[in-house]
Amino acid sequence: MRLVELRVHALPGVDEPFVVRGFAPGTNLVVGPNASGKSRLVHAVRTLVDPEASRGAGAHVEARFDDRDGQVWRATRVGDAVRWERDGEPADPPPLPAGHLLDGLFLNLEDLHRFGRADLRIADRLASELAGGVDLPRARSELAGLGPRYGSPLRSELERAREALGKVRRQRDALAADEQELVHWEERRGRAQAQAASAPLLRSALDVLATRRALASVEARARTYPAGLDGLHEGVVQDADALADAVDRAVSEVGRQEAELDAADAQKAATGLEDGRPDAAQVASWQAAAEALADAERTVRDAERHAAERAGRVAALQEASGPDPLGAVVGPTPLELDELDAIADEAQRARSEARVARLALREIPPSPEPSVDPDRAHRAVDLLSDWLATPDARGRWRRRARSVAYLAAVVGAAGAAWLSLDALDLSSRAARLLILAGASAAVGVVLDAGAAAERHRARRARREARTSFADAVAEPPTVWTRAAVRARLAQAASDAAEARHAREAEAIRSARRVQLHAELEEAEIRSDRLERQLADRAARAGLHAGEAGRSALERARRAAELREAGQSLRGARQAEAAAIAHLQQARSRLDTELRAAGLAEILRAHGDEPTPATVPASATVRARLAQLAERVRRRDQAAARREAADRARARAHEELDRVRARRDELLAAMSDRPLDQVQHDPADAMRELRRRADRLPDWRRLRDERIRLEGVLDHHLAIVDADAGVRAQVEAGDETALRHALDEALAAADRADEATGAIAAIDERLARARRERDLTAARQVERQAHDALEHAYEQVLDGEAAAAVLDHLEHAFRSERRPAALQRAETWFARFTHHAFALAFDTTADGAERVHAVDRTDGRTDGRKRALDELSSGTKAQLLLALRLAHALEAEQGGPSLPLVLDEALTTSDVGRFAAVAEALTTLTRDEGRQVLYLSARRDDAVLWRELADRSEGRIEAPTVLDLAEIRGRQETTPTLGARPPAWREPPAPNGLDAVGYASVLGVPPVDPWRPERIHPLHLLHDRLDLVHALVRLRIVTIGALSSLLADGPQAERLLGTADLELLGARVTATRAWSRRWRIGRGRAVDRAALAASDAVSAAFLDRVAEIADASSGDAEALLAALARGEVKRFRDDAREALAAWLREHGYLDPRPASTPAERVLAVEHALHEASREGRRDDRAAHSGASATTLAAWLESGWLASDWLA
Amino acid sequence: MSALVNDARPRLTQVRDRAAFAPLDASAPSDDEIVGRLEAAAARVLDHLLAQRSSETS
Repeated sequence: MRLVELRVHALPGVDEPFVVRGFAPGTNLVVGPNASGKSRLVHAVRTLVDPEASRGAGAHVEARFDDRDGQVWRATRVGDAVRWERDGEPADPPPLPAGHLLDGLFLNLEDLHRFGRADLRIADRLASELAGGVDLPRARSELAGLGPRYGSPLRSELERAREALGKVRRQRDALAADEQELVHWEERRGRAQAQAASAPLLRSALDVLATRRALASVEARARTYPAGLDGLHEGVVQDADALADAVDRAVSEVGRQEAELDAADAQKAATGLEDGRPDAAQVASWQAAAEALADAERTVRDAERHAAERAGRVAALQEASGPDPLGAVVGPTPLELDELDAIADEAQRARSEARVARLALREIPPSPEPSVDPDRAHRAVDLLSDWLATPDARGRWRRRARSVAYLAAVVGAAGAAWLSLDALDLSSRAARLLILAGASAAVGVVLDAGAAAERHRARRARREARTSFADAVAEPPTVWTRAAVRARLAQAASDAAEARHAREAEAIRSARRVQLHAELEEAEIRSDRLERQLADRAARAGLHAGEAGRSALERARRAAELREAGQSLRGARQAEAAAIAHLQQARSRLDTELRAAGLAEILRAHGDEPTPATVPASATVRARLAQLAERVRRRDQAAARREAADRARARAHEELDRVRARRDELLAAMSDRPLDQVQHDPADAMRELRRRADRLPDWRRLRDERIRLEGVLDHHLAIVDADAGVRAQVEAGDETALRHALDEALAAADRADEATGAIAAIDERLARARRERDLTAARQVERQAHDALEHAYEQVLDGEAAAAVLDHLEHAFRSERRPAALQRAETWFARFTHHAFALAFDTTADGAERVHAVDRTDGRTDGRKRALDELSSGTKAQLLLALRLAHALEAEQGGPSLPLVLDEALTTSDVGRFAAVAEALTTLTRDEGRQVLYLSARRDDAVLWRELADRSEGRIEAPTVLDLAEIRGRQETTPTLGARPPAWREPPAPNGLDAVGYASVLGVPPVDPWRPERIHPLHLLHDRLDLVHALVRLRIVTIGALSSLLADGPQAERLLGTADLELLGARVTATRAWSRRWRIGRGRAVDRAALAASDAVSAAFLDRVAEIADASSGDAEALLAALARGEVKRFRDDAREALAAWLREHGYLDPRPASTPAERVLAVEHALHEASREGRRDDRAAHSGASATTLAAWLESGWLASDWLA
Repeated sequence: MSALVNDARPRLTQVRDRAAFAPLDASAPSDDEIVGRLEAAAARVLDHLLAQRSSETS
């Protein structure tokens, strides 16, 4: 079925319907910019042949097909339903493949570029069919998937277990040998222990000899000391010294007490009271009597001072009261005097109030004369207000105008009535008008008359107001205008207010005067009344009428006080007399006592002044008695002191006798001297004692050493006594024989210890072996490892048996079954490649590795098997196309052959693939009669396709081009595809230009030795500019693209002819060799990715540094030099050094010396030579006239002289 | 069956010669043992393929 016409009414992504007509039976190239509806067109076709596509999307699409039988089919899809018509009649749909099998008919760029998921599904299906419908790889994986190294870990485990077992066995053997040695060790130990037993006896024997020698030495030294040292004890010298000191202290105490006795006697004699009279109690009694005398004297003095004060008071009162104040025996009482004072005070207050009232009356100012009469001022205000209240002149004129209007209305109405009377009678309409006019005139007249009366009343009121104002004796306004009248009215109002305030102030003052007059009168009345009352009360109190004043009262009060003072003076004088009598009595009593005691003699004996005949003043008596008491106290103290000193002297004598006896006894005993000698010369005895004490420690050490040696000797002798022989040797003093025997015994003890250690070690090893049972465990581990390995061995044997069965099974399937789809794919692939390749399918592999191409041009009988990745892009596209087509044809199952749709499936950057697919599509349309729809966004695809068709000698058919933008009536937008250059234009021919000129015309970039794949072919074809033109027409503008085409040999031959292929191949190889040699010493080209990977260039600097790297063609040294010059601002030196280190480490900086041009010529020469050997042709054919020197020169000039290229 | 045994014999003998199983010191399998193992393997393969089919149909 071939698509003839397509109508898209509605489809998701389609904004307005469009129709595409003119599809040709063969290849159709539908071009249109992006968003012109190409993909919608593909989708529309698919919605018709695949009802499951776009379900629920509201599609409305129509298409017309015709088939090989000339029948016309029309398919209409509305919503999810597809309706078919055949030759205008409804018909069942043709047998179409299921939707999921249509992938082979709808292809895109990725489908022909790599082995995708759809290809994987096809390959899996083919493999399954080849395997009889079962998954043999899966069965092989699950039943025989054990690798050749399976079991190796188990073998290692077994070997480790066996090694461990061997080790345990060797340890057991060694232990058994040790066990046998155990008896020998015990025998040796027994013998050695027996011999070693005599060692203590022999050691004691030797110790006896040594102790005896030491004892003899000690005793010899002890004999040099004096006898009697046994009695000395450790602190004997200190004891003797203490006793000597005690003797000295006792002698000193006796002397001191005797001196105290003498002092007491002297003190007593100094008091002059040796006879013991008087005693202290008697003196105390006298002192108490003296104190009583002093009290009596104080009492007399107080009574005298009191009487004197009273006498002074009386004299002062008499002086203040005048003559004979004490004569007024009768007078007013103090109570009466207080009452008189109260009345006098009240009278005084009344007089004061009267005085205050009179002062207040004088302070009230007199009333001023009023400047304005308030009544007249108020009258003026009223009159002026009335004048202003009358209508003014302007209002008058307005009223006059209104009156005129009334009159005009009346006159008008009268005129109308007059005119109507002439034409009509009174009963007519005019008559009624006339009556109405008359009535109006009457009203106007009445109104005007009322207004005139009002005006007359106003004029009269104003006149009266002016007349009255003149009568009011007030200054009239200057002129009678409203402004002047208002000003005068304000002044008149101010005057009226002032007059009102003055009248109110006068009223207040008048009221105050009346009140003060009343208060003054009341105070004077009250004053008079109190004066009379005071005079009356004074008379009743016995005062004269003239004394009723304040001074008379004072005099009366002083007279009363004088009377009281006189009475007090009399009492004081009586008390004074009583005190004097008491004093006399006390004095006489004391005098009697003193005399009775003989005090005068006592005092005289002591040298005091003679005692007067009578008792002196109490102060003198008290002083003398105090002195006497002190002498008595000192006399008694001296007596007590003497008594105490006497007792102390007796005790000191006793102590002296006691300590002296003890000292002498001690010295006699310790110095080994007679007692009498010691008593005679204790100092000599003391010296002897000190000498002995100095030697005492040494003597004691010797004594202790002797005791210790005797104990040791006894101990060793007790031991030695056990052996008579040894005892005899001891007694004989044979020390040499004893020492030899001891050495032998000690050696035997060492041997016994060694045997004991060896026995213990063997016992411990035996016990551990019995406890751990390591041999059994090691055997068990070894057995388990052996069993595991045997199990693995069995598994591998079973797996190999299963693999053998599966191999036989697969072989049987492959020989008996062959899927039709695979046969078709093989057929198509062979056709597409003109039988240069055959398709091979490997069911044992997985994924893309199942599909291979066998190169039949390889020369070998079975061809060389190439994997997909080893094929050129064109051959790979042909293989994948064959695989997809075969699958689609298989899906069609003999039904109608549907159009093959390729959406952007090709790219002009790979001319080889483009040509290969175009040729395959031509084969498909010719051999199969299948329609092909190819959709592209680029118009130049049509140009290239035609170019290929022109050069293919009929193998490629030029397509029918349909411009979708034009069909849909849209302006074509710029075709875009990533970084693709602008729309292709036919490259110019050289037309006699030299290489430099032609390069300039083509815009050839300079040679970039770091990127050889980007070198333009012109740089290696200066002598074949025609070939450069052919390559450029085929879009081959880099060595990389050229290499890709050359890799597809047959296609390259068809496009370029056989003659130039070897030339191009040799020069491409030589160019790469030149580039490799050029890069020696220059390192790899630095690009942005390298800079980012170095971590030495931060993101802030990456763009700028990458620009410099690009500008210097990736030369690391040039880049670092530019950075060192500071071309990147703020790029730090440490970052530059880090970058240099990274570049050096990763090969961007090559430390080797840079290659010379001559070396590069040699490299080119060598490459050309190798290419000629591989091509089995001579060098001249490969060179085609260009020597290695020439080719290298072209490349060098392309690299160095980039200016002419720019 | 003889062809299958002839194919399987070297494969099974080579297993004995692998380094991993050298410690076992196994002897070369006899033809009877090979036949027995092949019969068992054929039964396992048949079961596996039948299981595949049944899982696909289900």
